[in-house]
Amino acid sequence: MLEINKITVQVDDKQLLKDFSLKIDKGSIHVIMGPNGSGKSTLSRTIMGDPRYQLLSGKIIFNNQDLLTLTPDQRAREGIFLAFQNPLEITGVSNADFLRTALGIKQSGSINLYEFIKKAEEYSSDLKIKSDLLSRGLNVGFSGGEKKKNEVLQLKILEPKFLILDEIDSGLDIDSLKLVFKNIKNYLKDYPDTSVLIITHNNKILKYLVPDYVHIIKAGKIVRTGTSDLGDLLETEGYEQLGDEDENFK
Amino acid sequence: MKILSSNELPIDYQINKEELLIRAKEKQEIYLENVTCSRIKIEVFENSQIIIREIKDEDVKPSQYDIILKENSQLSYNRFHKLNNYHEDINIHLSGEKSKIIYNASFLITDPHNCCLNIYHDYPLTTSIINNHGVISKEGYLDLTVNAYVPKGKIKSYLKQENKVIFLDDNKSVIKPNLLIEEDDVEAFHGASLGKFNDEEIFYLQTRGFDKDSATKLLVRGFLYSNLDFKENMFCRINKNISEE
Repeated sequence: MLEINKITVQVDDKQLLKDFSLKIDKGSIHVIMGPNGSGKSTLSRTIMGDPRYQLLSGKIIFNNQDLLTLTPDQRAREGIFLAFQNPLEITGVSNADFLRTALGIKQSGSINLYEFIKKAEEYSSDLKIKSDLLSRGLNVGFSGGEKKKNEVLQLKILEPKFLILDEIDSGLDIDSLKLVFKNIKNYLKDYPDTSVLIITHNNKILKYLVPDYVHIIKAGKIVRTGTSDLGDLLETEGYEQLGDEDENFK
Repeated sequence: MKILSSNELPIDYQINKEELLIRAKEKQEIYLENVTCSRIKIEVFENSQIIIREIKDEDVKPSQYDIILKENSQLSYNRFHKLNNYHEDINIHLSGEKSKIIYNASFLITDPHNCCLNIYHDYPLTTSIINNHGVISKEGYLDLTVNAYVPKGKIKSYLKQENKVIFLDDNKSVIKPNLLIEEDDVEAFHGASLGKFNDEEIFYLQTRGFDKDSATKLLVRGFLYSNLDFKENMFCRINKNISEE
C-alpha cells in the first residue's frame, strides 16, 4: 500500500527526517511513537504533501504510484486521509456544506443529498457529535474533543483507504477517546483493506486499537520496531533508555 | 434595480434619478439590489429595529450614502458589493440617544476603489459596530478610511471597528481607521488586518480533496459570508460573483 524509501526531509533548513524508510501493507496498523521534535508530524505532513516540508531525497510509493508527483488534493483523492493534530477553523462555511462539497469532489460531483444527510446524521450520532455542530462553521467554536470527533466524522464520510491519525488522542477525554477508537475500529471492520498510521505520544491508546507494528522514532529515524509490547516497554523505560539500547540493537 | 420588503411590511420610499430616500420604521427588513441613484439616504425612525440587506454586483455607482438614526433606533446594514474603480462616501449619523448601527460590508475588488466611511456619534449612549471584509484580486486596490467622531459630552458611546482585507494576488491596500474621540467616557476598539490566506488553511482543505483554486474559493466564500446577515438565496448570488471573478 505505502512504501517510504529513504526519505530525507527538511523544514526551514533543518533536517527532520533522515534516510527514513517504512513499509505499510494493505490492512495493517502501524504506530509511530517518539519524543517531541523527533519527526513524527513531519512524516504525516510529508506523506500528505505539505509544500513547506521539502523532500531532499527518497521516494514515497502509494499503491504503485509515485506520491511525490501528486499535489495534496490529488493524494487525498487517491484515498489518503490526514486527521490533523490541530484541525483548522474556517468561518462562514458550515460543517455540513464543507463535508458535502468534499464528498462531491471525491465522487466527481454526483452526490445524493438525501443519502448524504442520512449518513452525516448517523455518523454524528455514532460519534455523539451534537446535531448543531453540522450547521455551524467548520470547527468554529468547537472544543478540542469536538474537533477531533469531527475529523473522524470527515474520515467516515470520505471513506479513505489510508488513514494517518496525527495525535488523534490529544484533547480527548477518556470517554471520547474510547468512542473515537470504537468508530475507527468499526470503520476498519467495514473496510478491512484500509491501512492506518497512528502518530502518538500516548501508549495507552494501543489498548483501544491493537497495532501490527509499533515504531520508535528519534531524531528523524526509526530506532526500534516491535509490537504493542514495545509501547509497554516505553512506559517503563522512556524514550531515552530505549534509544540507548537501540545503539546495541542496531 | 430592486427595492423590496423582506418581511412584508411596506416600505416608505421616494426615488428619482439622483436620490433614493427610505424612511424606515418599526421592524422593517429591506432588500436593495443594484440601486442606480447616485445617492441613497436612509432615515431610521425612533424606536425602530431595521435590517437592510444590499447587493450591488452590476456596474451602478451610488457614490454617497447618508444614514440617519433617531433615538433608540437600531439599524443592521449588510452590504455585498463588487466594487470597481470609483469613490464612495458613507455617512452615518447617530442622531438620537441609544441609537445603534451595525454596519457589515463584504466586498470583492478587482480594480482601484476608494471608500470613506464616517460615523458621527452626535448623541450620548450611541453605538457603532463596523465590520469590513474585503477580498482584492487582479488589479484591485482599496483605499479605505473609517472615521468615527465622538465630540465632547457624548458620553458612554461605544465604538468598534474591524477591517480585514485579503489579497488573492500581489495587491496592495491602505486602511485608515481613525477614532476621533474628544470625550473620555467612551469605549472604543479597532483592528485592521491585510494579507493573504494562511497556507495552513489551504493545505487543510487540500487534504480533503479541494484543489488550490476550489480551496481558495471556499475560503473567500467563508470570509465574505461570515460578515453578513443575509438570506440563503443572497449567499448564492455572492457565490456566483466569486465564481465569475
